[in-house]
Amino acid sequence: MQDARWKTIEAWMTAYGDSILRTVYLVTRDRAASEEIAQEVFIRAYRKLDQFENRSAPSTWLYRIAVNLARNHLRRRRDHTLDTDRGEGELPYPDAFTPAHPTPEAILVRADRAATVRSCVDALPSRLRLVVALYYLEERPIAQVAAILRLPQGTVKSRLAKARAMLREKLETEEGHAET
Amino acid sequence: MQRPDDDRDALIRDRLQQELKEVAFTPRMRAEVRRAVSGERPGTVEPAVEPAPAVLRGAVALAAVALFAITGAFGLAFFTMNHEPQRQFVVSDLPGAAIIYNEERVQ
Repeated sequence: MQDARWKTIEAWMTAYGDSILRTVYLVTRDRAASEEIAQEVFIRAYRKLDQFENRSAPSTWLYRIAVNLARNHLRRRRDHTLDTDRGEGELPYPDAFTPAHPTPEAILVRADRAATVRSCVDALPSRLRLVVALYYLEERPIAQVAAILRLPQGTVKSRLAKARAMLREKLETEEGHAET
Repeated sequence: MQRPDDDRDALIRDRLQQELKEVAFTPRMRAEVRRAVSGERPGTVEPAVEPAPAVLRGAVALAAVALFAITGAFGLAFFTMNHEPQRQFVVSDLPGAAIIYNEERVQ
């Protein structure tokens, strides 16, 4: 193993591992798949490090790999539309992503708060979820979202506007139901 | 485009981040990456590939022996160079021949 190369990848895993995993998970909504994809991102980055020419930020390059892998996964799963087969009583996120011993109260509070926004984001088409993940979750600027997705900035803006409108509407509806 | 800064956007952002803050790239996943790129089988320790130290040790030993030999050779040469010859043989010391020689000189 080439030490310098591995050190670079290790530093990138530390800096971007969590956020890449979160983004992929938000898009795929599949814990196992998102873990595999996040790992594959860094494996590919290690093998193709010579091709990284520093013309973009490492994070942009890594996110681009992640987005491509996530898209391939969705394509294979034919999951570009709504996924409505999730159980109603299911906790927002799988056990592996929750603390080792959360209190029952903590689980209920987190589940209640998260369920609304999660269900709203889940209801978006995957192309909008990607934009939401990068813009809201990772707080990437529009220009970087466009670079990662290889889309014109105008397209990103219009997708973001559409996602925002859908989220607002859904959140208001969901919260309206919750209050009554 | 400027980031909208109304309450709803902040709410979406905060909730998403709150919801996913426990999602983490774990040491196990990091180890999986390492295993994949090093071609190591799961559950095994990465073999130590260190041929260089053995070669280096041999080279150091060889250099030490060579240095010792060179130092010894120089030392020997130094101590023998300034010594007087143990004995100066003269013709008179030689039996027989010396007698003849002396007799010749006397004559």
